[in-house]
Amino acid sequence: MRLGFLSLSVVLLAGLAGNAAADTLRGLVVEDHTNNPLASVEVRVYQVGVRQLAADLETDSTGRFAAEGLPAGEYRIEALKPNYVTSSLRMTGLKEGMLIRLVRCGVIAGQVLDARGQPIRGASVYAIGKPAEGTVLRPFDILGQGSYTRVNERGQYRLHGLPPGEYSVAVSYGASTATFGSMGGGSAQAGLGSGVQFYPDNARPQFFAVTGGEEYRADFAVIPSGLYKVTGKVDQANAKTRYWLALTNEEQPALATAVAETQIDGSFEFEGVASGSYQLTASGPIGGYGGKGILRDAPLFGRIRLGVGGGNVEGVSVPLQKGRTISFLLRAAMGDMRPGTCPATAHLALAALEDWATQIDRSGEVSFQTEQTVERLAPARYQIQLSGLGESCYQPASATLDLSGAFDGKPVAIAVAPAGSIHGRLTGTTSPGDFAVALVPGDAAGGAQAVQVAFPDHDGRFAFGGLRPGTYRIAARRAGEGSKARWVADRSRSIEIRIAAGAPTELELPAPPPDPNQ
Amino acid sequence: MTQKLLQFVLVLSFLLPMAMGQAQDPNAPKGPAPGSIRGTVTDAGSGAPMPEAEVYVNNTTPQMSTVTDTQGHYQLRGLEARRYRVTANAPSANGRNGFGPSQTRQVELLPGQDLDGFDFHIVLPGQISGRVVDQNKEPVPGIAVYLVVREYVAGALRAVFTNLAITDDQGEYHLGRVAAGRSYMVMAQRLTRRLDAVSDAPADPRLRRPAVVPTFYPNSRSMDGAEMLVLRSGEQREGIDIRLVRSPAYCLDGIVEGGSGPANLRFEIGDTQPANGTSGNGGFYSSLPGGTPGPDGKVRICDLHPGDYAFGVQEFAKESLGSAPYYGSVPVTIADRDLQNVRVSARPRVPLAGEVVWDGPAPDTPLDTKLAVELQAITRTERGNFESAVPGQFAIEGGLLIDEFGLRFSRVPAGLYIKDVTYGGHSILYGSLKLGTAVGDAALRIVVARDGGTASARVTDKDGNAVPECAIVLLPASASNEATLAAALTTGRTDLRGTWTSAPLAPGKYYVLATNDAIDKSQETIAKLWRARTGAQELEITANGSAAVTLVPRGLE
Repeated sequence: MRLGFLSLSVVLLAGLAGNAAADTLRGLVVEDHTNNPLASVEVRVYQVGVRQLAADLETDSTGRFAAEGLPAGEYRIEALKPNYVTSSLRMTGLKEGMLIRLVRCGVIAGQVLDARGQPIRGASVYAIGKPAEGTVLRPFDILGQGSYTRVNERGQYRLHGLPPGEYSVAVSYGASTATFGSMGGGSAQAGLGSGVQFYPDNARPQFFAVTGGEEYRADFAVIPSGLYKVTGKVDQANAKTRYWLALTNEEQPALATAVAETQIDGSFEFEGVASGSYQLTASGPIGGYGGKGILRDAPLFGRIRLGVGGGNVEGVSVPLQKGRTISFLLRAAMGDMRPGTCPATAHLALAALEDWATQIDRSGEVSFQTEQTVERLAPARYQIQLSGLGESCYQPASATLDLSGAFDGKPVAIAVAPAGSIHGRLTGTTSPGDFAVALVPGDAAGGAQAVQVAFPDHDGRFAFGGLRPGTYRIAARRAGEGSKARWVADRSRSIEIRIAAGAPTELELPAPPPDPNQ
Repeated sequence: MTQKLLQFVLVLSFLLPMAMGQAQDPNAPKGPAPGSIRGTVTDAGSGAPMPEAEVYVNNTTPQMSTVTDTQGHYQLRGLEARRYRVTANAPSANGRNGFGPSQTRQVELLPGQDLDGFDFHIVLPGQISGRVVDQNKEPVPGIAVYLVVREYVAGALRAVFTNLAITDDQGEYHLGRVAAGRSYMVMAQRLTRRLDAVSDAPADPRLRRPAVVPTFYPNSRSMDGAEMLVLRSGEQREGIDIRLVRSPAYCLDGIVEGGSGPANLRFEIGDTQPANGTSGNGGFYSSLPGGTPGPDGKVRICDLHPGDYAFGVQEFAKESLGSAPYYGSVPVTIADRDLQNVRVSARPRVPLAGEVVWDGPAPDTPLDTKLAVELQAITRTERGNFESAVPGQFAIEGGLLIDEFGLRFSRVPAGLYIKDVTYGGHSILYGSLKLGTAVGDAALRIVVARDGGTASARVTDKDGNAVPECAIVLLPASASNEATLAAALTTGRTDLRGTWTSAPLAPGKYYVLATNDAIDKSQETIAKLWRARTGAQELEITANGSAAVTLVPRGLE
């Protein structure tokens, strides 16, 4: 999810000025929200169709870059800097006076203290992206640089590298997944227990919107109430094998409230658990740990519902079962689909929507023709994610697979649909090469405001592909204005269009008149 | 992902047993009235009381433990009269009990004794923080900042990583687990984990982005220019800012081969020094930049600064994490141009066998205890071990990957000492085993001798009172340099009566001293011990003899 999110996130830019010598590339990189020049940006220059870079440049202290002696041709340029969203653009012939805008990632920082104002040792803090409608929050499955951290000795944290989007913040402490996953064990802290707290509260997490360069502050005061013990036994546990148990709050299952390991006799004990309604999950045997517990071959799973309130819970019994094997199949969402629209096979990722403290995510291949099976699935709720669909195909709905209760065992069909595209022409100008065209999704319900930029050819033609059907805003912008207005924020100067699935949307876009203020 | 994380940072440390159970032992046998121990746990640096520290006795079943109160006080009750080892363990930085800094003391408890004032002064690790900037004074996020020690390992002075931090969006880093009183260097380097088989860096070096040279605080490209940092207990050292050094970037074109084919291989490249490995009482291993080669085994690695590298290749066993059936490595030096046609081959494990022999005539009755030996690769987690009868022949089951190893004798039968170890006819007693380098006879030969003498020391203060828990160091006079001294020295610790007796040692002249300073194999400590030979007491250990000495503790200068 994280990777897809990044690749979609804002690609911004840019003005092209002048038609200078074809073999010289010169430009300037600025920060999108401040217009300040950006030093130490890597500028990767690819000639289209050539794998090896034509040049790998770096901006100087004034944000400028240059390369000479490059052959004429079509180029793709990427500008990268840590903590900024990568920009990429295509162009025919190299330019001088090129301007590239980079969007700075967001920061959420703060402090995690207890009731006495003391820092909470070892607390982990997560930035969690706003999910699609109808799905629950889940932490990044790939712990991106900065999106997960531990507090320092003063209880301070700093989450950074957050690309445009909306984020909630959560802290987990005590016998947490992070502690078990990094040290193979953990313990509840005296007087504090174990738990998960979203900002400002678990029932209604606040979302912080990042469009570029924002720095938010979220301070946590962890004040537990009524801490209880939960003890019990995992059935069928063989001597010498250890299982990990996770208590997840039904309200926010993205992070486990507490984690425990079985003793040799299968018994377990959670200490310092607050009242609440929980799912208690068990998985194992554990063969190692690295972020989360690593399950050995032929793992067993258990899951029960558990209420904690007003006292210790004793004698809990968790029955175990083998992992499930489920078949998957691709199907067209809307009747017949033109051959070649979607690939015959795609990559399937099943990402758990609950934190079991162990690696229960699974993946496999999925195709239209034959059912493909995925084995060793836990009785968990999974999100179904497809990748490798190509530019003309997309997954219209975020699908969920719920194995937590009874499951009929039928193959799961995953819908795919043809993606939309735009074939456009810029009109009303004799020099279309002086313009750039930006496309912004108009109906993004949260998530990144993904911007794509295209440069018209000498006939004014431009194209966008691989578009999720829906509403978009499109705008042509004169090169020289690149530094004056941000693509993302500027709603007034764009027009709204509706993109249908399948056949390309034809569009004639008038070139804007010169800016009278310029 | 999991596997990557696991490979990325694998920190081995000697973990203390977790404390279990409660302070009262309901099954304690009835007899004389039980005694108790109480005292205070404080921070050795500031003297501040330490709450929530766990205090436990190591050798009771079930283990007895308690936790200090807000004043740092503790009390262990219900203890029968005998000798105990008591450990105080501070909470670790990440909140896990049993994993923090600790101190262990010995005590002899008399029947019914209520011992008071049995205090602990725990030396806390410090923290180093700072900011990494580049030539434009821009903070650089995502840079790896390493804590580095220089320590003698297997007969050579080596620079070894001990911890790693990564800079945040402001270029700031925080390095924890900095042992107080030890000398450290801090080094910053670009963090690369995954390499493409064939780098897309431009063909023309002039069109490449400059490489980042591993930069030692404050801004040195070599260890010799590094400023050494020594922290007090619990010290937070700030402002250790590093300005990265840049250099032209070069590429290496190579072929990796061997194993079960390129698809199953992983190539990697790392600076020769500093490197992964063991230091102090732990080890630090982070995965080197690497990747899977192309189907033809070709690799092109770029963004290399001038310097010395190890270019390696290995194949991981599918069924077990971290264990490799094939490995190979070649040294590579980048000067001022790209390198072409560098080959490295993943080779299978090779057998290692040998014999343990007597120096001189064998005893009349055969020994019933075996000699146990461990081998640990210097820069990798690869290890092997064997046991051998004395005399007898041995072989390491499954063989070893071709690499450089340090040897450790984990069990030597009573009354014996190791007189020599040879490989390919050369002594490696104070050096390392470079597997595969033996010409001709590739057997490991361990010579044990029975003519060792013992040294015994009694340590007193200037008033003649016994000094318990004091370090004793025996330095062979035959050690001709610091590296050999580091490998050949013998250490011990006095008991509650202030005495210590060595295991059998090779006859000869020794320097002996007692000190309350920490003894380790760091460059600084060994240099101090080298100098301390002047003015140290001399001790002649004769064959089968025993030499005694009385010492007063001294500081190392």
